[in-house]
Parts: sequence; structure tokens; C-alpha cells
Amino acid sequence: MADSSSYQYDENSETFPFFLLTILLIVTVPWTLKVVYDLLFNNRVISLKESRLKLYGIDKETDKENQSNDLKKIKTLEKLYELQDSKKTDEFKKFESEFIAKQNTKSKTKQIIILTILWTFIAIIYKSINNNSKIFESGIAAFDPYEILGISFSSTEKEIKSAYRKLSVKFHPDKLPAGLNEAEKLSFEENFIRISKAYQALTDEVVKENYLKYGNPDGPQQLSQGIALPKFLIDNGFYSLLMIVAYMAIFMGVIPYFVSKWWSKSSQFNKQNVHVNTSSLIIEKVFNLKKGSVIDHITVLEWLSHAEEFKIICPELNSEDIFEVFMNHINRQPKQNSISEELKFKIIAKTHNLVKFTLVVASCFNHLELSIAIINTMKSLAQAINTNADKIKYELLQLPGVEKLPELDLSNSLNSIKNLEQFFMLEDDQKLKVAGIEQEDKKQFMTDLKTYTHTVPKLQVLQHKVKVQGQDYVSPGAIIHIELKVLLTGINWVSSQKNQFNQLFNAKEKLNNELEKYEAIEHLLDTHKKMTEQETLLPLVAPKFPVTKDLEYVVLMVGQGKVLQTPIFVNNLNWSDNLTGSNYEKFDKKNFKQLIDEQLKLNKPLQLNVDDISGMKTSYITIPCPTPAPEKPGSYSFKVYLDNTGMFGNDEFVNVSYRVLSEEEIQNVENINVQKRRLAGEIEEDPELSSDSESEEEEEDEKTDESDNNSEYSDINTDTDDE
Amino acid sequence: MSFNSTSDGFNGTESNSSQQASIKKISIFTPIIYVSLLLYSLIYLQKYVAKKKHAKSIETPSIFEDNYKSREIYYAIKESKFETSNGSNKIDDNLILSALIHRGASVIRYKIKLTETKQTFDILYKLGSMGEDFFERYEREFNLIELELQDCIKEYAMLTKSTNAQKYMEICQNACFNEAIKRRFAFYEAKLDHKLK
Repeated sequence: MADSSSYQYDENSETFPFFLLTILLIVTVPWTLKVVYDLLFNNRVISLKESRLKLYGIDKETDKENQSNDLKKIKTLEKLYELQDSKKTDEFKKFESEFIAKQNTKSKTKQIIILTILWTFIAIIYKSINNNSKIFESGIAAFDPYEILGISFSSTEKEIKSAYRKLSVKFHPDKLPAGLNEAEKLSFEENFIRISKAYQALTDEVVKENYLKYGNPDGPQQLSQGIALPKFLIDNGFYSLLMIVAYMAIFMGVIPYFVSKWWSKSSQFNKQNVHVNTSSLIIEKVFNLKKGSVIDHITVLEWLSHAEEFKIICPELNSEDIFEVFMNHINRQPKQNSISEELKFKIIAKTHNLVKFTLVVASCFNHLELSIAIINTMKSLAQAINTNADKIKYELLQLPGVEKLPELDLSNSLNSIKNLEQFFMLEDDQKLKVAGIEQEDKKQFMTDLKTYTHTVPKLQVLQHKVKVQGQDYVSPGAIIHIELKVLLTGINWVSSQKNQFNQLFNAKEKLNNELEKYEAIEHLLDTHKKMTEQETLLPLVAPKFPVTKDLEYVVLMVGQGKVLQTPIFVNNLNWSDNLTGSNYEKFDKKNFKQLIDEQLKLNKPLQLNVDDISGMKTSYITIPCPTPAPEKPGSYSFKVYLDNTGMFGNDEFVNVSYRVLSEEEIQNVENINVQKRRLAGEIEEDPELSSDSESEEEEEDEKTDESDNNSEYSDINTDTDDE
Repeated sequence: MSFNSTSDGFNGTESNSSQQASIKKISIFTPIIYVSLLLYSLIYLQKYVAKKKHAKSIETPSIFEDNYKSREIYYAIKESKFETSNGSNKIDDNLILSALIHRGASVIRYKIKLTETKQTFDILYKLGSMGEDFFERYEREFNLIELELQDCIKEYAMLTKSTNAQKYMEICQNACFNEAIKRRFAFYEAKLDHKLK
């Protein structure tokens, strides 16, 4: 067997260690660098506060220049956390800080141990290479004409010649010293050949070229292939068997094992990070839901209680126990003895992802009623409110420090206060009565309320339009999207003044040319860039929810009683200038309201002061439409639900109508546009700016007409109140 | 190990191996046996996998909540009839026919529901929200209702001795729609109660 082999083996361990060393170094060096880098720069022990700020895009260490800009933002966030923490139960607070600490300090000990082992291996291999004299011998044997002749690399031709002469005299076969045996004679001869070859390599053109090209004066050499393993491992019966077994174990055992383990783990959870069993269960439930059946948040919670995730977290609890945990949570019932607070913390925190997934499934099945029930479930869980139990007034339970609402006499006029908007219009003492706060706690409650109004935004839709990229009308079959202009104000702002605010902001934006930046090329190419450029929203004030939740708005598009597309979650809206700006406090909301009321009564054109809102900013929400505009010209509309996923009483519903123009109308619009452009072109030469203002006025008229016709705002609040 | 010596060694070994090459006679049956063994093992594996798959698919329930309950009702009635055919409590032919119509109606309901939700399932599958297993279950459902429908028609032919499957289908469809209307009505009442509560 040994003879039949045409391969060379690495008998002297000349190649194999290098091979091993290379592989080890390829893995170890970058890994070590990464770990060292992390240890040096990223392993600061981050405080709870800092890590929380980091979640909202503020890093105190890295952007020091921005700090002045962010200072107000940081203050608001800190206030928010302070308020939330003061209302949170001690257990949940403890678990949350543990949870955040765990996320931030990833344990490196395991990595360091593995790295140490790898470096030890490298050291051993390096040492064995150093000790292996064979490697150095073969290195010496390599052809180096300068070394053979004993000259330096920079020697001149003269020096080469003289060195060659000296050596050739010494080793010339004709001039061998007497009394040498055969072996010595042979070595002398070999040396002479080497010397003459070396000389030729440095002087003869052909040989020199051979040397430079192939590293050998004789020209190209036969390539030798070999196996970088010692021969005994392969040719010897026992070791070769061992080798085969090892190979088999690796390729048929170890690799398939890890791959299958990875595969089964990854196929256990779907793309939304929900266990496949749970996803099957939810899809099956939604699929089997009979059309028109009554669904509310209790139904959704019942479904969720069967989720596989909970069986993994707490195998000892059955679905009824889980359901009980849910119900106790939303009913704000005191602790039960049987289930630990830590488990409750985990169970309630886990619902976030599951409810969101259920909403996606429901919207895929176009189920509007179920979708709304699911959104309500999100709110119920976040605020620990059971809308069934606390009929009508449940919104007020979200106020900081309000655990339970007092029973007011039916005759009491305060009994009609049902939602947050009404609540914030009351006088301080009335607020106390409605919320059931004792007089001695008044001071605390009022400061909490003040923080609350600065940290909880309220979304108001100012303007809405169906748009086509690059043209100001909707042509048949065009790809359309909806653009909502929204304003985030404090929760205590009145929502009935949207029209006035809209006019104010339009005037302000025109005055300051604020919209010009949206005409840049990247905005024209990507309609949704506007939205993504906006600030990340601040976290949700929900002290009852175990972990800090992001404030998100969900956009549901509805047509003919059906959800048209999967929900869009919006988390980017400008808030900091509005909630923390200097004008926020100064702005007299009551005065503003009175002013508007008076002006409306007198039927005067509105006279508003743009300076009132100078520090504030509007935001945009752009929603891609599932289908292109209809082919037939006419009027159409979308209904858009804009719901806060974490709190009640902050939802909007808009009916966005649009007109698909016919061929003739399009022609007309194009003609008008061309005329306008022509006029604008003339104006550049014309010093008088009369016609420009005219055309702008026209545009404005068109816009206001449209918005007047189309906008029929109605709050979703009123709907729920009827129930 | 210098350059020279390497090439020498290589040359030497090569010449050795070329000298040793010799022709060995192999029986014609060797490849035949080899191929047949391979084929047999592949067929066996395929059969084994199919059997396992079949066993699994029998075990997994339908994605419909009531899991072909009307079929079970029908067979329960039918079997009890045959058992007591010589006894006094003979089951009315109309009863068994109505059970069959109910069964047919539910098959039609399944069919409508499956075709209605086809797009939804595709979207969910593409979103990566659905596990492979569930999607397979869903696709299996189409075959199941086809089989169920054939079985219904066969039973109908046996019961009424008529081969007019079209008429049976029409009756079932009407029954299905009537059931749907009834259910809707009940839900509206329930909703009203829910609101009044």
C-alpha cells in the first residue's frame, strides 16, 4: 500500500503546522481584536438612566456636540422615567432594571476562555515549529545565489566575480585537496555546481531570468503535491482507520448535528419572532372566526393564553392560569399568592409581540372588527384597564396616580366627565374630585399632571391628501399614497382646533419656506423619506406595563368595512420642539380657544398670530396605498384609522377622499400648469411681482377648497362613548 | 527538502506507480448488483418517508374548528340505522337525508372559505408568519374537501337511487346560504345584547 501511493507525506511536520497555525490565526486574531476593543471602549457599566436614553437615540458619551440640542429632550425623557418609576410597583421596577442591565452587559467570560485556549494552541504550535530543525534545514537548502557566494544583495558585478573566483578555486574538482574520501569528494563537487549555478544566476541573462521567474536557475520545476499530514496517519492501518472515523464523525455527525440544531431552532420561530405553534394557533383562530361574531379584548386575551411562549416560560402553568394573570392585570387586582411577580412580569411583557402579530394576521384576513379589538387589547394591557368593567370612564384611569375612580353622584355635574380632553379643561379642584385624589395629595398630583402633559403627546391630523409622486392630481391607474400632516401636542390640548392650527402652520411654513427642503431630489425619489427623517417618539407612559414600551401609532387603512393592508406602525414623529419648546408653556390654550370662538361667532375671517406656534413643528405620515388609483374617473375615499397602541383617548379617524381626473380634466390642469410656469418665467425678468402672488393665491384657494370639502374629522372617542 | 530533491522524489514515485498499473477483471454482475442495491434502498427510503408522512397527516387535525363534525354525525346516524334495522326504532329516511344535506352544506361552506382566504394564506406565508406545517395543513384541506364532496355524492346516489348530483349540490348550496343567514342574524342579536349590557 505504501508503494502504490504517489503522494508525499508531511513526515517531518514541515507544512502541516503552518497550515494549522494559519487557520488558527485567521480565527483568533480578529476575534481577539474585537473582544479587546469591546473591553476597552464598550464595556462601560451603563447606568439604567443612560441605557434608557440610549434606546431613544441619545448617547451622552458619543455626541457631546449635540448635547445642547438634546438637553431638553433628555430632561423630558428623564422626567418621564421619573414619573413612570414613581408609579411602578417595586417588583416590576426591580425586574426591569435587572432586565436592562442584562441586555447591556453581555458576558464576555466565555469568549475570553475560548480565546485563551486558542492562543495556548497557537503558542504550542509555534514552539513546535521553532523546535523542528527540519524546517530550518529545508529553508537553508533553498537556492539563494547571494548566500551561496557569500556576498550581499547590493554587490557589484566585480564583487560577484571575485567571490566566485575565490570559491571556485576552493571547490574546483581539479584542485581538490588530497586524501578525501568518496563522500567528501561528492560534497565538494556538489558545492562547486552550486557555486557555478549561483554565479550564472547572477551574470548569465537566461539563467538570471530563470532564477527571477521560477526561483531556480534551471527553469520551472515540477510542482509537487502532497498531503499535509504525516504518513503514519494515513498509510498505517490503525491510524488511517482512526482518521476515517474522525472524518466520518465530523461530516456525518458533528456538522449535521449543529446544522439541524440551528435549523430546528430557527424554524421554531417565524419571521415576527413568534413561535410557529402560536402562529398556527392564532391563524387558525382568526380563520375560523365566524363573520359577524362578537369579539372584544377578552376574546383576544383568551386566544393568547394558549400561546406556546408561555408554556416555555412557565411550563407549570396552564392556559387558564395565564388567562387569569391577564385578567387580574387588566382589572388591576392585587397580587395572587400562587403566581410569582417575576412570572407575571415575564408573561405580561411577552404579550407585546404576540398581540402585534395577531394584529398582522387579523389585517391579512381583512377583519376590521377584530383588528380594532386587538388594538384595544394592546391598550388594555399597556394601561391595565378593562374597558368592559370600567364602562365609559376608563380613559381617566390612565392618569398618573389614579388607581380607582370614585363613585360620583348621578346628580353631580362632574359625572359627565368621561375622557381626558374633558378632564384637562376642568379647574384644579374639580380634577381632584373626578380623579378621586385626596386634598393632601394635591401637590403631588398636580406636579405629576404637569409632567404628564409634557411627556404624553396627543396626535392631531391637520391635513390629509391622496398624492401621486411628481404630479398634483390623481390620474387613472396612478400609484398613489396618502400623506397626513399631523401635529403632536400635549395631551391637554383641545382637538377641536385642528382647522385653526392647520391654517396657522400653513401660514408659518409659507413664511419661513419650511417646505422647500422636501423638494430635494432624495425626497422626490423616496416619498417615505420625510417620515423616516423625523424624531423617534418618546416612550409610552404606562407604569402598569412591566417594561418600558415604545409609543407607536398604528395605521389601518379601511375600505368597505375591510382592512385593506397590513398595519403600518409609526414611531417617527417630531415631538421634542412641541412638548418642550419655550412656547409650550407660554401658549395660552384657553385664550386661543376663546379667541377662535369669538371670531367664529362674529363670522370674521380668522386673525391668528403665527408667533404663537413659532417653536413648533408638524410631522408627516405617508402611507403607501395597496392598489393603484381606479381606472374610472370619479370620487373615491379611504378611511384611515390612526390609533395609539398604548393608550386610550388618543386616536384619530380620517376619511381621505380623492378624485380621479378624466382625460379632459388632466388636460386642463396641465394647461393651467404650463401657463403658470410661463408666467413664473416672465416674472424672473419682470421686477414687479404681481402675477406671482396671484398664482399663489389661486393655488391656495384650490387647496383650501379641497380640504374644506374633504375633511370630515370625527373622533373615534365619540364612537366608543356610544357603546 | 530542497527544490531539486522534491522534484526528484515526485518523478520517482510517478514512474513507480505507472509500472504497477495492471488490469483486473470484474464480473458483469458487479455493477448490476450495485445499481439494484442502490435503487432498492432508495425505493425503500421513499416508501418509508411516504408512510411516515401519511401517518402524520392522519394525525393532524383539520384547520376547520369543527373538524368535519357533520360527517361524523351523518355516519353515526347511518350506522345506528343499520344496527337496528330489524328493531322497532327504525330511523327515518328523511333524517339521514337531512344529515347528508347538512354534511354537503358544510363542505360547501369549507370550500367557499378556503377559496376566499387563499390570498391571505399566500400573503402570510410570504411574510414568513406561518410555519411550514400549517401551510401544508392548509393545502391538504383542498384535497380533503374534494374527497369529502365525492363521498357525499356517492352517499346521495346510494340513498336516493338517483344520479343527479347537480340537484344535490344545489340543495346543499341553498342550505349553506340559509345557515349563514341564520348565523348572521344570531350574531347581530348577540351584538345588540353585548352593547346593551
